[in-house]
Amino acid sequence: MHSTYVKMAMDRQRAELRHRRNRRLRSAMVLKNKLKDCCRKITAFFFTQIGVCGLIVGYTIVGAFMFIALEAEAQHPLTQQVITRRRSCVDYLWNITHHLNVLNYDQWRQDVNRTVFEYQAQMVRHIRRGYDGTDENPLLMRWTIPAALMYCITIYTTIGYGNLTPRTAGGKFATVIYAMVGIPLMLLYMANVGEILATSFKFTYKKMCKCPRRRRRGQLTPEVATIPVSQEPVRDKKRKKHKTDPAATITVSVIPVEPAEEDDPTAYDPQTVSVTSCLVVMSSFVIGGAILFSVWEGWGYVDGSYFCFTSLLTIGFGDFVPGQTIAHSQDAVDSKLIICAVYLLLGMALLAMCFNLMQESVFMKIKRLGRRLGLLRDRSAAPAASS
Amino acid sequence: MALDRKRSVRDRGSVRSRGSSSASSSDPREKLKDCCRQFVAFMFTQVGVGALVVSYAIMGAFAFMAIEGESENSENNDHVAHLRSSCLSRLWNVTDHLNVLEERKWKLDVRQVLLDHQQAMALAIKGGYDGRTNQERWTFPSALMFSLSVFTMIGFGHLVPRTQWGKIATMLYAVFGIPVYVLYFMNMGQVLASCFKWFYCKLVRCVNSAGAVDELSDDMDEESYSGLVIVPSTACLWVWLTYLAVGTIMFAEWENWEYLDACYFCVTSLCKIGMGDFVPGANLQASSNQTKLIINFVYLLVGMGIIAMCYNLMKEEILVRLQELKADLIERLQDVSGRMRR
Repeated sequence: MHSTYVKMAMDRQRAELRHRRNRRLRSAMVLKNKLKDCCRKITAFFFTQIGVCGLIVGYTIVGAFMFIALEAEAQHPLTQQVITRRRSCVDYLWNITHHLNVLNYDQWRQDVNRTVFEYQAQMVRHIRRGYDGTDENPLLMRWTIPAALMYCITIYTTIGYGNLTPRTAGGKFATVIYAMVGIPLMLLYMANVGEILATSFKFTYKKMCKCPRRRRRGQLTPEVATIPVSQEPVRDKKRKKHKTDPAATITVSVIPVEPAEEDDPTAYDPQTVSVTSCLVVMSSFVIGGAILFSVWEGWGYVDGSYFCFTSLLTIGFGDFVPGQTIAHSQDAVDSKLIICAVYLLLGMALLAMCFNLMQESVFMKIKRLGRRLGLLRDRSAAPAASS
Repeated sequence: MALDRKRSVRDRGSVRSRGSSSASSSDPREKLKDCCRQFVAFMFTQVGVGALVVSYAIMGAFAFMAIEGESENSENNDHVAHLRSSCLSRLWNVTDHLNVLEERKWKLDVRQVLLDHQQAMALAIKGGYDGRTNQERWTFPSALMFSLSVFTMIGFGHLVPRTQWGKIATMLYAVFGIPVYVLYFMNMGQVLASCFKWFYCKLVRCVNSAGAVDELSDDMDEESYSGLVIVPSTACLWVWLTYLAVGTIMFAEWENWEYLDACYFCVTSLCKIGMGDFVPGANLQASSNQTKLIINFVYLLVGMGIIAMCYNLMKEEILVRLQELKADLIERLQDVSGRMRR
């Protein structure tokens, strides 16, 4: 008896030990799985909205510093030529002045005018070949941090203003690589952010549209309660709609949401309405930006909307860039560039959202229009028509 | 219910086609509709869309030439003339006030005057002055390049509208032109992608004469095809790199640019960035630049098509890979949970 007790105790001890070992092993495995799970979550997070936004911002900052390192100290290759030409022009002017023993104003003016005109034509040629005088002009755009940030943004949004361009070979090579990596990243950002904005917009829109309808139904229910029709459940009341029962017609409005939308031809189509709201949102953004920039920069309203338009459509001519007009302090230029950068990124996100919301409905509308005009057939009959 | 609806629509369609083919002679309205239908179908094919794009660009070029070329850009020229005369009067002041013409001081002052003049000129040139009249600037090839840069969203910026009407016209042109371009892009992409796939399959078929032939015969079967779908991604990257190389060499030779500059131009233009610091044929004179501009135009359009093709081919491959990855992840998760339960 005693031996069995001891055996039982020993078995119990062994079982306990085994349990404890198993628990330790399981906890170790759980830890390992937790780590794997964590890694997976991190990679999934980077493909979500916050991750992509952070990635884009980080990419911009890294790019800005890279370009500053490459370009800030570099002199334009044509600068030396320009300086030499200017020196020779000065020598020539000196010769003219020195050799006129009596300073005859008209003669002097003629000769000097010709010389300066030649000098000017040479300047124009140099400037068209890329020299932009920034080495000698403290007022024109240089590679400060906000300017470099703006440059990076214009690369991967494919706007490409061109008011600030790389001059060194390293800068050009870096631009090429930066573009090839940044543009897919930007597409990812736009796809992600566009989806989120689109879903939230649809959600808020539906909520806004449902509130008045719910109020209407709420008003009619007390009337239904007073009518001594019957104690039938709600769905039977709906079926009674087709009969000429006057009491039943009032109860139509108590019907739950789905059947009402099917029966009511004037019920709003969520996709159709959001196209106009999309356009409203986009145009208000463009107009808001136009007013903001034209007031700040002293452009006209046409110029301001031209700037917003061409920038948001990623055309980006570069003839109008905020912060490029002279007679501003460097701080003002910096803050304007940063606000412009934020405006562009927001605008891209809004564009992505509108594209998301509109593509299905636009296609559907075009198909419907085509079918109504008799221009489009169904796919099954189309090959017969085109052959 | 959905199936019934589809069937009824299909029957309606076939009835319509049957009706039109048999009764076409008796019903002129049906004929007209049929004609319209064929025209629309044609316009949605590659030839139609390409012609649409080219004609839209040409129409835009003429419109911009009319709007911008005729306008007098007198303010800029006046401004520059004013700058020059003020420079001259400053020079005269410097000369006049030095009673004894001391060379070094005089040269210093004159150099400063010229520097100021040059900086003012640089700003004026940024504002659009380049020694030419608007007529000379807005030639047909330049206007064509401008229209192209608007609706392909490249936006070089070396030539920009300066009048108010020009800017409004640019905005309208962009709004209507970008959908046309997107249509061209998607169409061209599909066509080139299918051409490339066919070509690639033929190549692979020639290389492996055994075994793979049966798998190649079914088109849409993804599983048997999976071995071949992956490879074209690198192949289309090679195609794009070759196209880039061709463009680099071409532009470097013609424009006397460095190879890096030409590569930089090709990449920034094909990626629709469009800096505008290098634009072929944008320099001042020379009539041979007209042909260069047109060849540039063709190069960019075809380049966009190739990008669309790469995008199309890569999209399929990425989708397939993502699905595989998802399946793999699900499998692994199930595995892990099974192990945990044990």
